[in-house]
Amino acid sequence: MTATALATGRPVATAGARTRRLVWGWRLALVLLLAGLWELSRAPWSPAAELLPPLADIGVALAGLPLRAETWAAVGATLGAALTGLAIAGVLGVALGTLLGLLPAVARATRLLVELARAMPVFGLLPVCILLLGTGFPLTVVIVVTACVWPFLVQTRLGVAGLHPQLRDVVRAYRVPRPLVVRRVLLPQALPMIGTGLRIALAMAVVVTIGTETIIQSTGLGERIAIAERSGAMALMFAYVLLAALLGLACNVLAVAAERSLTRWRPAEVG
Amino acid sequence: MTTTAAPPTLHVDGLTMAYGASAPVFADVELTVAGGEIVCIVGPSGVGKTTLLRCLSGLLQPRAGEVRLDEARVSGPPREIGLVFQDYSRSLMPWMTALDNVAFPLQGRGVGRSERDALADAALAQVGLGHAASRYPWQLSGGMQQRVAIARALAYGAPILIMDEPFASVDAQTRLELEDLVLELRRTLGLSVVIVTHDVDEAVYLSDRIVVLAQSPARVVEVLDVELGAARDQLATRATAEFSRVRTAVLTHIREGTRPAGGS
Amino acid sequence: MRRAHPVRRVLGELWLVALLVAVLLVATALAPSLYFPPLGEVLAAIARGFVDGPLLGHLAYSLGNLLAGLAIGAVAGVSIGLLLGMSELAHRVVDPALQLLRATPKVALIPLLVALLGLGAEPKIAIVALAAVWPILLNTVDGVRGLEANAVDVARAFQIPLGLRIRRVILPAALPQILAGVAIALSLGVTVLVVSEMYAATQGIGFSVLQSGRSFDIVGTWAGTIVLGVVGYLLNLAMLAVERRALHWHHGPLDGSTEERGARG
Repeated sequence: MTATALATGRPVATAGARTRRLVWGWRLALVLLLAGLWELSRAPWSPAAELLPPLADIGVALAGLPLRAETWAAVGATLGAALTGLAIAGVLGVALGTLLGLLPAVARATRLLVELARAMPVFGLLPVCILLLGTGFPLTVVIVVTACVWPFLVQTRLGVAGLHPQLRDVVRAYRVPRPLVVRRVLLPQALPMIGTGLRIALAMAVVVTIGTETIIQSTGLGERIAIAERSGAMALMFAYVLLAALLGLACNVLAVAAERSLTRWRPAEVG
Repeated sequence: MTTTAAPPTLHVDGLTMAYGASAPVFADVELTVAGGEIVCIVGPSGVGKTTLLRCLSGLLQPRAGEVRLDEARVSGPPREIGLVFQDYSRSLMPWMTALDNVAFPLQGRGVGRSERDALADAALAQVGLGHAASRYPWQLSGGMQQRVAIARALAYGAPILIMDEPFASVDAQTRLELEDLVLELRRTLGLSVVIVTHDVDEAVYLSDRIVVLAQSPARVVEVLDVELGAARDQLATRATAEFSRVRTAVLTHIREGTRPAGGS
Repeated sequence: MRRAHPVRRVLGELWLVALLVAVLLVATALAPSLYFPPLGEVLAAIARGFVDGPLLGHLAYSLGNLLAGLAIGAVAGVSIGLLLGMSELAHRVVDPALQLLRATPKVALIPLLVALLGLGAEPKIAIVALAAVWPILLNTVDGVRGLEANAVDVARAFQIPLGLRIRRVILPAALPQILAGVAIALSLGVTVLVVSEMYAATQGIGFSVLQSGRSFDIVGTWAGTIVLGVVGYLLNLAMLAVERRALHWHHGPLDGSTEERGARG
């Protein structure tokens, strides 16, 4: 975008500035409209009057979150479980996906099993896992791993499975041994797809962690939200939901950056 | 400097290739490439030139006949052959720098890091890319990518280069430069080179000998010696009478070979 | 590619699952433990649950909420997506909000919706709709924006009115993307539905599984878990069938892309 602006000179730049002002104007209008609607639905005649706190209260609660020790404990617990599960799922998924990609016979035999396991709603496993593991950190990690292993596995398998015929000729003509082909050709080739898997899995890890915390009330953001709801602290609950949203956004930004760094060798437009 | 052994002679005897039960792609191909020779294989498109090259380089097992390097029968890709493909954008690993691409086959052979990097550096310098070692393929022009592919074959230490339409996908100017690069590498390193091309002018300019492939199944319809000497020049050589003589002869043979003969 | 005989192909894919089920049947029957009751008993409990009703009732309740939520999410997602896809300005105005809303873990909204809407079906439908709307909306925007300039120019050159243009040009062209969005929405919807049923509910398959777990009815817990898994798989299959049917004109590339799409769920 900057390139075209540079190439065509100033007129485009000023037109761009005008559109930008217009866009920000509309954004402001939209925010004001939504704020107005919010306050309107808090009017005494509204059924939600008692449940929706004033926007200012939510702002105050949000600003106060960093001062509460339990906020940091909750964010730490949520991120800790999500990232631990993600790491285990990544190692497991990439290893299994590589195996399935390299051995089509095994992939065929296990296809239905993988499809069945992948389609299992992960929270459906929660009650069984609670019976087996109790309600601590290991439970959350196991649930996260169960949810996140599939994007890694499927993406790695797809990425590893096909080598372009010409590259196949290259590695054969230069007599490159199989293990080296896997390490330096097939896996790098699969990296962009594994990166996509990582992005999907990271979002999933956060969702699954917070979901688990909400249900089993173990330390974490999900638990804070549930406690705030049950004690009727509505402003605090909205603040925690916003915090969860920001955490999700941060994770997404992080995942996109990680994905990009995995594919540094590609031109930026493609990556 | 890469050290390259003197190239063995490449013998092709009665080579026949067919896929499954279908009619042969080519039959009874005879060919000899002595050390230091440049031989071009020309023919109409679809005649099976690429299949022939894949057999020569050991990537495909022929139905009948054999390929030998001196006395050793070729049954798989031999160490003495470096392959250069037409589609440069797909023959380099996009996730490796130019240097890593060139050094990769050496890693496969167990050459240590510092030694293979040194060999790769030298090979890149030989093709005029000493400055581009750390660039990724997408940062290189098509001609430069093809130079990297040639450097890969040099670093591998292969005394025989086999090239499949190597310059078909680059622009005209680059093409002339790469043709001269091949001539220069033959002169300095004494390489043997086998090139498949559909460009008759290119074949005449580069070759010591031209093998014309035609008919269906394809066979060698003519072998022409090119008496242009070792030193060639893009302008002067192409203006000689010998150049036009060979050119006309090749074109005539191709046209006769493709004309539908009574049977097929 | 050589294709094996259909029967052999099915057997080739089925044998491992069959073997696993057989091994589990025998192993759990010979050496039952507290947490791994005999599989035969669990399967019998599933059969009983379907015949006598409770399981069937819970399942019907859940599926009803799921479909209602998906329908609302799809209608909202496609219409807003169309609007944003066709107006560059509107898209730029709301894009930051879209990004934030998409990144919000929807499960975090469940307690909020329970507080607002109570324990009945409404919060379940709402959370499914809220989870489903984003992938559908974003995919619709992508689909509409990715529309080939050619098709748009043709429609303009022949002065086809906007309504007709949307119905006959834009929507069909964006359909593959929209359906891919629906597929993602489906699996997200199932996830949030189960969480919301486990968080606070009086009915539903998620509620029933958690309830049996809490009352230490281990056979019932396993039974519900298996039913959930099979239902999840069947929903996936149904979605694939819908895509295949709706996109018969677009068959080639779809076959290869379904797997990747599935992974995004």
